[in-house]
Amino acid sequence: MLEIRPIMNTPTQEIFEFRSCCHIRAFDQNLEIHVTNRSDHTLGVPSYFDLKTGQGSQRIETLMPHGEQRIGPGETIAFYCTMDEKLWNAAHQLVFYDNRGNGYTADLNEIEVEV
Amino acid sequence: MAMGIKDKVAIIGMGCTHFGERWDVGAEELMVEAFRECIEDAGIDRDDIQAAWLGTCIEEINVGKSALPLSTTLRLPFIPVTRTENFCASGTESFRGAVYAVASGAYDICLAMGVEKLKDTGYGGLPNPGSNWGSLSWLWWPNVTAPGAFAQLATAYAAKYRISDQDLKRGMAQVSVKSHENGTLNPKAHLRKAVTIDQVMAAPIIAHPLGLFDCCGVSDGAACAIVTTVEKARDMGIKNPVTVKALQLALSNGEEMAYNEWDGTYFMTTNRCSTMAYREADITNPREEISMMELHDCFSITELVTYEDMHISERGNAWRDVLEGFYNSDGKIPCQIDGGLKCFGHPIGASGLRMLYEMYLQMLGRAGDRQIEDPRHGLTHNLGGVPFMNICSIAIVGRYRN
Repeated sequence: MLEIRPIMNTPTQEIFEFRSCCHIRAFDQNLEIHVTNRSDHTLGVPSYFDLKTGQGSQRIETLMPHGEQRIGPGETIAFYCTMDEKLWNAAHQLVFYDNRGNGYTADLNEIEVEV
Repeated sequence: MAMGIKDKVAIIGMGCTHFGERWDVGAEELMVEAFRECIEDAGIDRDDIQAAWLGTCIEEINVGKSALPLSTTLRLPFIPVTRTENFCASGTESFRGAVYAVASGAYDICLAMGVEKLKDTGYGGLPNPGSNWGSLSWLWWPNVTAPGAFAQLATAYAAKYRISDQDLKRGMAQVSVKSHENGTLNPKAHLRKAVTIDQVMAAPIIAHPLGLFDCCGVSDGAACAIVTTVEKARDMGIKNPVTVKALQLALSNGEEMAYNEWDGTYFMTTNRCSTMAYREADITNPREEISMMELHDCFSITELVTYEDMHISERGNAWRDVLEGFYNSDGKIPCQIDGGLKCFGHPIGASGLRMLYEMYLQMLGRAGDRQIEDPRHGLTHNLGGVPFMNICSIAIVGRYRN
């Protein structure tokens, strides 16, 4: 069971652009998504999600970090990406998957946008 | 017999630039920006300044090795100007030079300036220490990185006090959360958005257990101070000026690296430097007598451990104190009330004076939305280097009370 919590216009965007002593240099990462493993076993989570709009579904694969992420029970990791505001506003669902093929949906209409 | 610096020197003016990626200006313009505010605040003429000190650290990319850039930029009237460099304490060192010069009686009015411009050079942060850092640095610090060295402090601290990984991460996260909260109220800070503990804890790991928000960034900025004697400040109509209560410096002597007694869980320098500073300022109970602090939060674990090296939090309990809000803006001892290095970044030569600037504003009741109630002693702390080899400087200021 994964819990998905997107944070659009995240303050972390500025941190990535500002910070460089850690040698992380990432720009326009305006969407942060927290993925929490609520199950009692470690799950692999591929680094992509599907964004559902009235026009269909669009897979977003340009997430940071790349590759499958291992998330232990109770742990949360954050994914970041560049998200077009218009596309985001048109979307109503966001779906992450685990490595067993299960999908986990966040209903975007129920989420407060953090500015 | 030495009497210390307490109440011998007054700060009569300070200035500070907006910190951030100041790609549109050079180090010279930053110095002018800080100086304009400072000299207007002091209410003196530029030619009244009799000697000056310039603190800058990474001189290859800023102003060079001499003090000429300060002298020429401000068109100082052919007076003594000295450049200081001592890692992250470079700004406080320039302040120390100016304060001691006034205290010695050699000059009436002195200027301390700190500046650094790091963002537009293209490299990723603090540069790789090259040959100019001395031929022994690679022998002493082979392949060291700042996040890696401070991460070892965190893991050693957690192991000694049997703090779980999640508890330590949460304590360190609160260090960052409260600083970012404070930074939202500071128009001169680069980062002015609040973050949550969840965001801090979920962020990418840089060097375990330090994550993205546990590390401060680099930045551009300048800050400066004009100091004089208490008597002269009073002649200028300042009845109770902000005075220097203590100014101390402690440097590693190799003991941390060379012997086995040091367990890597604290800073030997800070532990001693704070004791010397309290003695100089006649402070016997810092947990009760220090009103606010600006600590060197290059990494959140640095700030956390420094709470203890300041003899304010009990050993092994700083993470609990910070989670309970002791160091929040409405806590017992607000820490990083201006947002700290987390929100300002770290233009090395400027940081020490930027910290003093906040203490000065707070003492005068000029800190706006960040103002805390009736501060008595304000403490600033810089730590240059790494846990096992560093330079610690501490300044304590307060209003002069006759």
